[in-house]
Amino acid sequence: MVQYNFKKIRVVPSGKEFNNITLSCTQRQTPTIIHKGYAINRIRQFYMRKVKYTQTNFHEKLSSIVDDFPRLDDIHPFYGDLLHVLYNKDHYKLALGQINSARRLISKIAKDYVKLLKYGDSLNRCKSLKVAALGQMCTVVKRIVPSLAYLEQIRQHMARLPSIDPNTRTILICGYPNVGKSSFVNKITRANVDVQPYAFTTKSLFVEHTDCKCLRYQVIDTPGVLDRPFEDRNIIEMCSITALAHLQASVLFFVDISGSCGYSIAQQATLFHSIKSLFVNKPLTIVCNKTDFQPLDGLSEEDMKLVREMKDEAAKTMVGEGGEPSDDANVLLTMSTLTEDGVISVKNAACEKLLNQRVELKMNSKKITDCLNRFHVGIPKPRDQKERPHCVPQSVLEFKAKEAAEFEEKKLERDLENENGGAGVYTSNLKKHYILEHAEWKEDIMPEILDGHNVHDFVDVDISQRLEELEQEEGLQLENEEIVQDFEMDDGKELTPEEQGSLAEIRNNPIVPALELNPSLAIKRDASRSLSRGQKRDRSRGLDDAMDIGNHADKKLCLRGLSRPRSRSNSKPPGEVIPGEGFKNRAQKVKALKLARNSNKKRNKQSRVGEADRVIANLKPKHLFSGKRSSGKANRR
Amino acid sequence: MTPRGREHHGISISQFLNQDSLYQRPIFRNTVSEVKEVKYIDKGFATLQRKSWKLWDLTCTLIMATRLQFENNCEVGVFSKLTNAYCLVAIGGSENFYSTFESELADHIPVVKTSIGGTRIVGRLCAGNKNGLLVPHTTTDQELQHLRNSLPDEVVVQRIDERLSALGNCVACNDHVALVHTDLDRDTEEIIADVLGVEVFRQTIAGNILVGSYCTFSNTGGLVHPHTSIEDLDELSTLLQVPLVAGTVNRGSEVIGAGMIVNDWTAFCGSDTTATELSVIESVFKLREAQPSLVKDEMRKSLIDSFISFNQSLQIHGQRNVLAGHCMKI
Repeated sequence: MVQYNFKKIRVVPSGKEFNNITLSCTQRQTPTIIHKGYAINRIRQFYMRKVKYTQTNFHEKLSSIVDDFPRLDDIHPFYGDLLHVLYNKDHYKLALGQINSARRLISKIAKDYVKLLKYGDSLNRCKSLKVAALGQMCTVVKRIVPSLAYLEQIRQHMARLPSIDPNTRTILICGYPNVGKSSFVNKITRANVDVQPYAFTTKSLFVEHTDCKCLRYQVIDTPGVLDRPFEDRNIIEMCSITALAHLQASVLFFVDISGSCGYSIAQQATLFHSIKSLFVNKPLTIVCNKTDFQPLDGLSEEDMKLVREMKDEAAKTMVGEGGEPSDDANVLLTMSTLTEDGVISVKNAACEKLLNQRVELKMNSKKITDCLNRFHVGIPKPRDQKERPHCVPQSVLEFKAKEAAEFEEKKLERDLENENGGAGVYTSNLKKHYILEHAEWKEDIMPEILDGHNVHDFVDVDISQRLEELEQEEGLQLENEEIVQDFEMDDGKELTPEEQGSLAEIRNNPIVPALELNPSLAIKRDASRSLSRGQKRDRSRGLDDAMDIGNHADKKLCLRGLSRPRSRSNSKPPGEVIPGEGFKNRAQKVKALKLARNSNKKRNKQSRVGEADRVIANLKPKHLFSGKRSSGKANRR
Repeated sequence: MTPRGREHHGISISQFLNQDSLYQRPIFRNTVSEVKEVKYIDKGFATLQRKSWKLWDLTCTLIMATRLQFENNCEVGVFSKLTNAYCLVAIGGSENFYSTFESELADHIPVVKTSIGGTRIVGRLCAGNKNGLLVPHTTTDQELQHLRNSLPDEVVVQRIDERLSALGNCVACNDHVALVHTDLDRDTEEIIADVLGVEVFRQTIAGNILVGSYCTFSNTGGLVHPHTSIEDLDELSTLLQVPLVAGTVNRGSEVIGAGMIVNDWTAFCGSDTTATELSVIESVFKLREAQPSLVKDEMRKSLIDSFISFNQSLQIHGQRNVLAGHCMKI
């Protein structure tokens, strides 16, 4: 969408400034030192450069002016005509045309003088040619001084034009001067348009915005229009007419039924009839203002007739396009901006009508098919008998019921933060809201590493349950042991001394696992959680094994076991999946490893230099090996 | 569209009331400074709770759908996770983000500040509902312990070994149904079904496999990627057994899951969300009295007008030429 923002146009310098800027730029940006003794080619080059540089500078500056100003034929016709009304199209085009021709002339001058400079035979001649060239360029610019001044004025004015978007939803307010248009705008928007009790308080278009049904509307307040031929209308009135003619908007025609604006209802009706051709195809509402002075019912018979005529005409405007004739209630509305009676209903009616028209147009366009899904609600069809209830805590329902009454204040973290030094200083306590069995446990410090083990590897959620199980098991074993002992008491004498010896050994080293928590079980259980720690544990166990062996076997074995802390049987094959690496299974990991190997294979085979290889970019840097070396200067390198 | 921040500079209360857009009627609460609360009991009647009330300081947030930012970032779904039983919030530089949740939710469910795997993108890394919480393998032991301590015992916290560790992007779920990424591991799928107590479906949304990013749904309704076709909408809604609407958040962002979080009674959106988007959200999630059908009926015109840009040729061009001639006889 084209955005009309005339604020971006750059400042147009006046003629004198223009020359100063460009010439000083040449002086600063090109070389300044030249001597007679230089080669003639160099002297020519020196001056040619100056001429060319000045020309490009002029060209750039003039082009920026020509490009910045909008072309009246290219922009939206509303802006085209508005600019025409305000600045006169012919004058505007002429000014820009002059700038353009100046640009061309300057280029031509530069070209000619560069050609002449090629034949310059001395420094002096070259210099005078350059002076002449620059002088001529400046003269050309001097000739367009009035155009530059005019454009600068226009630029300043254009920057202050309201940024009206011609394609968006628009409400346009028009009517005789002093009928209450601006006060209506002040009521429905946040505008602060000047309201005074005399005609033509509003001298130009004003834009403000208002909301209706989640959509934003731009409200355009226009200057009052008098009923007279087009030729006689002044610029202020023509602004209103331009807006009426070109903006597809919801039009509110204001009628002051009290006549306190100084114009009778008959005069206002004639105006309505004379500009009604501008209302064709636009949603039109006649708004009778100032009902606090004079209610609509209290009008005289003649005035009532005029108003009714206007209403009939207004109802017809939409019919032409096939839109439904609006019902009476919405075409003629009454309000009073003083008492704010009916102001909102007028706004809503205008917005509604415009929206209806726009939606109707858009429904016929092709684009509607692209976003049909946005207005569709997927309603579930039942697929089974399962109940899928909502889950809203009771406290929320209670809170909602309570809400209408009072809202208690609660101390939030934000308040605490502000009290304790603000963001960056305050550190909130993460443990504050822990849900634990006993409140005093909250702040307990839990060790992360204990005896070289990660505590969390040994954390068991069901630890109390397991303890119970173990205790039960223990009880069972104790019972068994007693039974066994009783049994042995009976026939212990029948054992040979050898057997008795081994029995004693067995009793001293029971095969039954120790009853205290065996960490190796927890290790196995949590092997999936921690990779590096798991390996460490493996190694230490291997060491223990080796020492066990040492107890029973000869020293050599023991030494070998110690020298190779991780025995072959303990090492893992490369393909083994270690949880946390992100591989699903062994096959996947093997495949990934293979792919990684293969990607290097080709390069390794060709023994090419890779990015990891050491490189000395320059083996013999020139500055270290050139130049004369007289005595005592060897160490400068 | 809705008054935000400074937009209401210097207007009187009566003018303010006259602007009866959808969002000015219920409860306003200031999130910035002095205004604590304004309640509109009826049109034209306002109670001011604090005396130092300044209208132009008013930033209104709705009681139902709240608009907020995380450190100037509107993707609130990235930095927080909301379910019917708990709310996870990233640890930020200040307490503003946390306190917004705290004030809305702390009375009802635990609001937990946490990091996951040392990052702040908690919403994208974990998946959960009122039954459980799944965290990726990058979660540290300490974080896991912190979560277990902070959440009620009914909520099962489980760390899972899954290659696709951004679980929030790969899983979208409510308390009964879950949509998952098509490449998710079979074991993970089982864990999701067990821990979260849901039926699991492998699905895409408008061709996007990151189901968690492009849709969000509660037990009451759901919002999906704006390019979802009508047939897909119907199919998905039958699958999920909730009404669905295709829409956007954060002024046209299609990453719904990142832009907003929702549960059965409240929603939080990025602060860029427009009034139109908010009203769609409120109606489809049934946050106020509004029903999803509002999108079809009342909102329809506003939606059409804001989605379809005006075709220049559609406008009454022929007529303009006539008028231009008429007008320009000066």
